Amino acid sequence: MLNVDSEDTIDLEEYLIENRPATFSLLMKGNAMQDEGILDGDLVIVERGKTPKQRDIVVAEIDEEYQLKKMSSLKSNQKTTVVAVVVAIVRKYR
Amino acid sequence: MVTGRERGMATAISQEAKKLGVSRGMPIFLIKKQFPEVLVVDSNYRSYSEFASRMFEIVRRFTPLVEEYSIDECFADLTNVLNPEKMAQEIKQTLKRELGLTFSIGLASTKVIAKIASKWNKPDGFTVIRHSDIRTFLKDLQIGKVWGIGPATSMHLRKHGIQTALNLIDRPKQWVEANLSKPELERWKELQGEQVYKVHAELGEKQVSIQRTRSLSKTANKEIIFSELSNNIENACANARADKLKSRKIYIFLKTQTFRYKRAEVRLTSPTNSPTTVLNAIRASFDSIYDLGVEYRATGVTLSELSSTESTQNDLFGEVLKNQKKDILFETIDKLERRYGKNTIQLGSSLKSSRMRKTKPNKPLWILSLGEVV
Repeated sequence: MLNVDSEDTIDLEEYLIENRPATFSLLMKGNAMQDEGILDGDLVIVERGKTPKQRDIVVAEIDEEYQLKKMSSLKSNQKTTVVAVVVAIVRKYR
Repeated sequence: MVTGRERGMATAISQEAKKLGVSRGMPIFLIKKQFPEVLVVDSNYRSYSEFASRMFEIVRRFTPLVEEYSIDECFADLTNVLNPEKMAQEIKQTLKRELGLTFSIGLASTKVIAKIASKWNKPDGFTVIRHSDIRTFLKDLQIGKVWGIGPATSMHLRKHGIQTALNLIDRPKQWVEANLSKPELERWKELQGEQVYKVHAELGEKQVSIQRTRSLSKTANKEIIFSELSNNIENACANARADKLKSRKIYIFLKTQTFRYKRAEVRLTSPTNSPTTVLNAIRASFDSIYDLGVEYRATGVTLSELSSTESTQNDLFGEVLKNQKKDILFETIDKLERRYGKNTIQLGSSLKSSRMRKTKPNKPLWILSLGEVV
């Protein structure tokens, strides 16, 4: 899973981020996405300008609010804007 | 919305607030009194400078010739691009897609006209001013709106009956030379579409150093070896002068018959491209790396830490701009912001490698927050 091969060090920035200038963070509020493994208080790393795939989790702007949605669950007739694609979740335990 | 609460004056104004009549520099207490519906917040400089460096980074994907002009503006030189208009569109779209902000872009043959173009259709504007359209765009443009023409100069120009930018370019060159100063003559040229001001790209500067090496027929003669080195230095300096560059750090090396390198470096107090200055500076180093009785096969010099000889001229221009801006209270902050932007520069990568290499900026990673999500 970790793309570090034989190396014994990891650069978190490089690991989490692909397109630096297009990367942003959001703070997860509530447990609406717990089935997807995203919990209240998680730091959500997202990338703008990426074309979403069906299995992606995306940030959608719905009713002037950012909501995490599974791309596959977005109805095409729904008036939503996909703002960014979730690329990583950071969770601190202590 | 208005930012600048911490400074007591509006530093950035949303389109909505602009429409109400809020302008840059307006005191916060006045805004609160006159426009109670306007939301006044602190400026977030870290976030601004992060957005700025991201903007510069994205534009540099398209061309290394990017001048970071201020915290929210840059110039990109698309002179040698096959289809500049298409590239400018792509830059704009990429910025919007990846940063989620709108940018106004102006495309023209000179910096002064490009500035006008970029301001033409704010926000989210895209304006191309072709040579043949220049007059149309300048017709109703107040002279004081031209980049670098401050209140004092525009008053002076008005006294001469010059109200608009078009009025200025309609004056013959002789008149401009006789009645105005050098900066105005430069603006006059730029407004006509004749380029005076270059885009000062700091990253992606193609030339990082100038090298000259030459092999010589096997000798241990100190004088011959020194004159060989001197020859290389002369050539390298000539090269630097041709490219309008000066060097601040000089490396010299001697290569022995047994292929060993003896190196030395000298840092000068000020940049130069004069061979005599360089020779004087490296003489002692040469003496220290030269070994008596050893045979040498080559000498070489590298001029590095190159800077443009035009930078003194630029300073003049900057000085002029600054003086004209004196009455604007943003001078200090502009400087600061310019510096903020510049701190994010990564030095000296070559044209290709700067695009291909995964560059890691030498600064902490700020991930901009978009707030909360549910």
